[in-house]
Amino acid sequence: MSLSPLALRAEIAALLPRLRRFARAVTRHREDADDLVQIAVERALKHLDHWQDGTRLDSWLFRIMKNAWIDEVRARGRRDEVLAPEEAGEHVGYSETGSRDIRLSIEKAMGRLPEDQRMAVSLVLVEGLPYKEAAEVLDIPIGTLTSRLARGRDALQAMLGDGDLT
Amino acid sequence: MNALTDADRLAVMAYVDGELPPADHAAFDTRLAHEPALASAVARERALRTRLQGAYAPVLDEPVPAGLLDLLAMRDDGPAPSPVTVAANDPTTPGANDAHRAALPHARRWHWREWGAMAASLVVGVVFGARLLAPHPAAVGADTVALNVRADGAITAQGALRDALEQRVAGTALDPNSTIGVGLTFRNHARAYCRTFTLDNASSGIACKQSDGWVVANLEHAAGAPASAAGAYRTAASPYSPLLLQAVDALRDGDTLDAAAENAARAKGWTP
Repeated sequence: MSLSPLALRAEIAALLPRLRRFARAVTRHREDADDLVQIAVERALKHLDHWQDGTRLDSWLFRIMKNAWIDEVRARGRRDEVLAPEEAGEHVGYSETGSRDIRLSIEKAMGRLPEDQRMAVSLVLVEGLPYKEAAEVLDIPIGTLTSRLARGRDALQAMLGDGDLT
Repeated sequence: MNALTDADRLAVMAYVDGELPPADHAAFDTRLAHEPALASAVARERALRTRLQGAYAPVLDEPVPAGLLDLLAMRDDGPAPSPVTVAANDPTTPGANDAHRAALPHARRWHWREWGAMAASLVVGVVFGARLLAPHPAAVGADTVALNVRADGAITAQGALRDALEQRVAGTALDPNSTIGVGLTFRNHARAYCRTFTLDNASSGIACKQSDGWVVANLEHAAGAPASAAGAYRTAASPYSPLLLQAVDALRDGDTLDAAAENAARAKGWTP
């Protein structure tokens, strides 16, 4: 609200890598992810005055992304929902540090989670949001968030196994 | 694992996520030391976090698509004058076209893609505050401020802001036409010099000197100052928001520099 629009834009620009990361987890597809970020940023720019000074800009943007995904991008049905992540894109740009196979297996496991769990896990475990912020992003009570987190984690542990994949 | 109660499973999760109430920490740590099942559950959850973060971290290193950055390009309304417009001055001589363009860099509006292509990084901020509506922001006065967003998301100071961070020290006479202020100077935990700045009495930030310039660590708007009333805000006591001052305290290692120390640091080019 009171942040000058240019400063706000600069901050949003600086958040783009994180928005893309969240989008990748949500959409499971490279192109859908960038479409989602694009739509969310367009919405955010249209409603810059809705952002409240003193609140987290990243949470606000994640929330816009969540809404955009639910009511717009996902509905396009452009890609098969069950498409395995490794078939959905080239995954170009991945650094060579670490094993690509491990990353793909983790992304695949994430992709198999129900969407509500995937978003909760992504916001808290990957984006590092506090429970309160993540619950607000998803418009759910904290108890619902923690139960989604617990179920998501259990499912991921079951899919990935204990292994020594660290 | 299976021996854990539901309550313990939630506690393990909260512990790993940093959500365990502070009052419960000591007791939980004690239990961890004595209950292998609990400790192994914590290790498993930590490993999961690490694996997930590792799997998605490469996305952060990918170049952000130009289309996304274009959305945030800060320029006044209307596109930059196209080369065709410039060429119309001398349509018959292709060579003169280039020379003409080169001679007019400041007469043109800054355009995101041009700077992006030129500098392999992208200009997101051209001018702050009231100058937003100036017809040719890049040509306005001494206080043309640019922020550069690198592909990794770091913002570096350009233009008048960079100059101010480099040159101004305590006691320097202020250019009365300048809206940029430089305030506290301190060293962070990496021993780099950091300085607080104000842009238009409405936006303030902290920038730290790194090998590739002044990297903006915080960029904020002083609470309660509407962007459209930057002038009115000047009467307020501090141009820095409490949040920003807290950030200074979190970043600084040691006291803020006095005038002599600022001068000495400037003389060394703000190298640690």
